[in-house]
Amino acid sequence: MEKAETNFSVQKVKHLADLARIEFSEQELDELTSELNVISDAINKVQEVANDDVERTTHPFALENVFRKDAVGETLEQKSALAAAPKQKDGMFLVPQILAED
Amino acid sequence: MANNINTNDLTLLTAHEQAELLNAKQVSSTELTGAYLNRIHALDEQVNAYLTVTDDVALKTAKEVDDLRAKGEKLHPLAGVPIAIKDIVVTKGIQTTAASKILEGWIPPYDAHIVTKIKDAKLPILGKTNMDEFAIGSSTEYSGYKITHNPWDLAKVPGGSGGGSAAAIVASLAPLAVGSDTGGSIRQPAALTGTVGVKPTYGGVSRYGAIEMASSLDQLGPCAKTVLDTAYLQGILGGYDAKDSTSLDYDHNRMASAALKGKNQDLHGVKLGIVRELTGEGFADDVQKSFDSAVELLKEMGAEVQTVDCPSFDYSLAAYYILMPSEVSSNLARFDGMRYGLRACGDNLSAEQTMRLTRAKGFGKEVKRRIILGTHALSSGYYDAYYGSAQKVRTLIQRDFTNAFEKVDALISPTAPTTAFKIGEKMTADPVTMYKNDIATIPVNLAGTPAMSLPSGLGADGMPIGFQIMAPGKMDDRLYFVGSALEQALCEKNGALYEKIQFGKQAVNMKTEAK
Repeated sequence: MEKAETNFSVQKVKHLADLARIEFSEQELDELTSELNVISDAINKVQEVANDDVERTTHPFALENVFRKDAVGETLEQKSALAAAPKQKDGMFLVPQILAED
Repeated sequence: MANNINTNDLTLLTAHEQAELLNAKQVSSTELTGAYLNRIHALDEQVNAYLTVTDDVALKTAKEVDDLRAKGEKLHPLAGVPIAIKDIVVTKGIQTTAASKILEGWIPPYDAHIVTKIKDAKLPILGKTNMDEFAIGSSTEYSGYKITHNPWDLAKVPGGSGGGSAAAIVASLAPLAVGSDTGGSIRQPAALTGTVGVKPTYGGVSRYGAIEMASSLDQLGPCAKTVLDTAYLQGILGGYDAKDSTSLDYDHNRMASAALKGKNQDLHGVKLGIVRELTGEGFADDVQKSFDSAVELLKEMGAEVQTVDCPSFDYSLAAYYILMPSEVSSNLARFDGMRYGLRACGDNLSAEQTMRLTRAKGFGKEVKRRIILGTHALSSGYYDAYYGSAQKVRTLIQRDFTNAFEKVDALISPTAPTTAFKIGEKMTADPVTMYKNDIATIPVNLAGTPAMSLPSGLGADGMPIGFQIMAPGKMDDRLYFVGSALEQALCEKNGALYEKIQFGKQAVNMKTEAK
């Protein structure tokens, strides 16, 4: 497997911030970039021992086919589900426009 | 003791002692709960253990317990003993924020599974405890609301992320508390505050209604002053829940019997392994010394102690700081300002702009840092090298545990490399300084195995030191057996550690004298 060496650039962090949907100021991006480079040195170490013959663990105890009974349980009423909505209208969540004009 | 009980002293007792007084009708739950609420209102402004205090909720349950007891109804043995709950656990009708500004004012419409169990057992809920935002941190300095102070020295941190629960216990602001442990958030604060904290086997306690941080690592568990109290609380919290697809089915009532058995201090036939990688270098001298003398006590009780190698543990911190942020970045995507929680916006912005501004305003610095790191680790071109490699390290660490548990019944190590540090001391430009606090607690989260921290003594600075016990999956009872034996031996030698704390004693004595 190819080893990945990461050096975070401001440009790269800005791209990640876009993917994560978080707005950052220029100064925050600079700080974050240098912090991520420090962390990067600490985490690159995992690649030293992750050989091809080692299988991956996704879960501490492998469970298979966990199904509950197909029975009606308690569910939230519409009113409680909407109770914490920042905005609501006609029993629905009111959200900002999804598509911009341009 | 029971004959001359003063309500002001009630809060200094263990949960088990309080339960005995309640069951003997020598004290009412209303008195006991009231004593805690008084103490919280008098002292918590110095500690900041609580984010929310729920007087009415607690007193209502207390009265119900008293009425039922008066009628001679059968009650849970701990009914009427109050409890504090970490704010990461959702509580119907009680504000739940996970110490994040993004959830400020959120009143959940449902109860977590463990809250339902606590309500069924009728433990009055005193309130919600402070923590690092979304349980991300090791000092409770990353709370979005306030910093919790260590009651042993208010200038120091109580550890994290569950600093609020641990501080509440040692300051006698709650006899029992619930914590969550993703990389040590129950055990490291327990170590730094001289209390007992247990991370049960992954799947032992339902995560339904625990706000997810890193789902494959998160586990809820008990915090208290003594091993026996945590055992009783795990008996309430633990058990299969169909609403958690990772839930395991095993008996949790045997924890208390194991703790009681441990009090006999007979460890003949018990094999313990000191983890070579979690001792010596990187651990402070006083921590190592305290650990070594605890090991001597274990040997005196008949335990056979050897040193075992877990070579892959050296990679656990690196693997954890890939897996955890990756799962964080995915889990915290749900906070987008659309359905609940904060929405920071003007009306003419697009949904995407609204999300960007909401998340910028609502999340704290460390949370953002981990989301960005996780987004990177999961992104195309890096997924295999980072996330994939970390998952492989997880396999190697599991193998180390499996090999070790072929030789020994339980593993031991110090819980944290140092005693509590000063508030602000590790908030530096190098986040890894803070991350290293979890070096000894992370391996079990990666393997899913259970572990306990209990106090082993005080350091050169007079601050508590934690001793960690690790057991194979579903064998949580071994923690309670060995932990209880060590606790008993230490107590006979030095007295109970939690009784040595000076905080709050004066206030209580003053009130006692006034009466």
